[in-house]
Amino acid sequence: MHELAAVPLAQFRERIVAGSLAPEAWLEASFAAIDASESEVYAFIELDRAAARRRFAASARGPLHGVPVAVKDNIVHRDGATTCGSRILEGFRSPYEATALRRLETAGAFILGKTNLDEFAMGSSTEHSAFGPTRNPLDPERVPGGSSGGSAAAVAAGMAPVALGSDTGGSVRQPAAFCGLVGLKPTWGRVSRRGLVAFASSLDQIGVFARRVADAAVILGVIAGHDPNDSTSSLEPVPDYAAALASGVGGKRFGIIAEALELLEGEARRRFEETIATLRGAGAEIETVTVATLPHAVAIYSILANAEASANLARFDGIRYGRCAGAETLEQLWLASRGEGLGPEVKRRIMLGTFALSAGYLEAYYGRAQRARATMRREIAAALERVDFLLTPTTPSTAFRLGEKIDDPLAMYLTDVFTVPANLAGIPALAIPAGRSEEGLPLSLQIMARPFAEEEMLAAGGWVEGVLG
Amino acid sequence: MITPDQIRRIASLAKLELGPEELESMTRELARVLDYVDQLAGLDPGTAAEEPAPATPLRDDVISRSLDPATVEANAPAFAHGHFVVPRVFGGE
Repeated sequence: MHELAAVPLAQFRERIVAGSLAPEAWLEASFAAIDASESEVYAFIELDRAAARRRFAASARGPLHGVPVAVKDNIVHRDGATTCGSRILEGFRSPYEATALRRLETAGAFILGKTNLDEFAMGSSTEHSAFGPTRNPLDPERVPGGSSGGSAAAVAAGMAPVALGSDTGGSVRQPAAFCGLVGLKPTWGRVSRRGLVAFASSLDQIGVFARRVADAAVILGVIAGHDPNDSTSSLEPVPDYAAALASGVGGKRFGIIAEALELLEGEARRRFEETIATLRGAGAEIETVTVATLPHAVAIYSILANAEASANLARFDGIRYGRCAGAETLEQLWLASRGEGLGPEVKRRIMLGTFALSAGYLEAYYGRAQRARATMRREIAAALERVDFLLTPTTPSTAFRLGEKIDDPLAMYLTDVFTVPANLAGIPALAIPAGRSEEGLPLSLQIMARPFAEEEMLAAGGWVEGVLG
Repeated sequence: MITPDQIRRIASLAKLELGPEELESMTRELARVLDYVDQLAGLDPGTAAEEPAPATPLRDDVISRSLDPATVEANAPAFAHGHFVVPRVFGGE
């Protein structure tokens, strides 16, 4: 890894001002890292070096001047295409840019390129991209996780210091875990979803990949805040997240979820218990709490996320933008454009969601899942009254091999069991590297916190990072 | 157990064309996922109602610019006289 990766973002600007680093240092390091491994990793769907140079040259002289950001290709920008990893968006050009990207550009950062993802962010391995899979830079035989696998791989391979992804059920935290990175999912409403192509609107949130907690805090501080173009974005003031890191965890209490522990086996369980013992040894107050519905998280999520997806993805109709199949009638145009343009996983989810909302099944599936979600929210809120943070492993296992779960949708969904609860409850969560497995693959610890407690969560994350690092 | 006929009906509602092989695999895979989510039937039914969506801040009710027709047209597969063009809606079958 090149030496720039060791420079915290907050110091990059200082070094440029002091003259010890050139503003284009990261741009050139990105291109060198891309030359070294992109042909194997395939992190980017769109990577136009001339366009990246042009965006860098035009970038604002702000605190992030010279910082390249890799962006998941379901977050729109006017410059270049947005594919969502799907054939159905062939030829689509966004007429506006996402608020999160506009804010990064205002702060001086520039968009390096658009990264690969499971089609419409539906997947946990980035194997469901219409443009081919991304590979894990730490072991190319393994998946980088998903759905934001391209963004995770780009940061893990040193192609960018930070990246944006989207997290609907763990799509930032799970790939961060598989690639040995920090992954941040903010509170629902903390970051504007304007320009994030909708999957499940009550769960979607833009998140951050970084090499260290402090860098994630810097980026969150830039992209967070109310946006008149997203009425669900919160009016809560945006604190100085980066400054909060210094506050530590004095007097804070952590909770381990008993039901999560029961789902862990073998090395995963042993290593999680060791991590908890290490944190205890370093002075953390840790107790056990319960979230009885946790083992049902994936079942609840499968119904609700896909019900919302079936409605959101109705917009891809072959009429207003994207791929259009030739047809004699309007009905045939819809059927053929969507039939040809959407991949098997997206179709499966639209079908599941449509079924759960259809006459005769609405109450037995959607209604029941909504009530279970409400129960889970209450259980998590009650646990977070007893303790300040909840700790789980980010994933039940380390990065799996390409092809290992592609023919077993349910096994793929179950990899999200620890990340889905934070989306269902709308709370912030942070994945932090927690050593390596016997096979040498990254392990990861997840910290969840109360809504809008990102300051405290990042401070705790910084402390945990220091203890486990 | 979900049947191929039900899958055909759902695909029609979802406006998805499925080939014979897709129909077969979709029936099998959906059956398995639905069997898995049926675990929710065993949850305590006394567990209270769905929560209302949280209140969202609304912007002032003032007119602002929306996309101009030329921008919309640039993305449309077929566009004429300020409108999207589609095949005939009635007839055919």
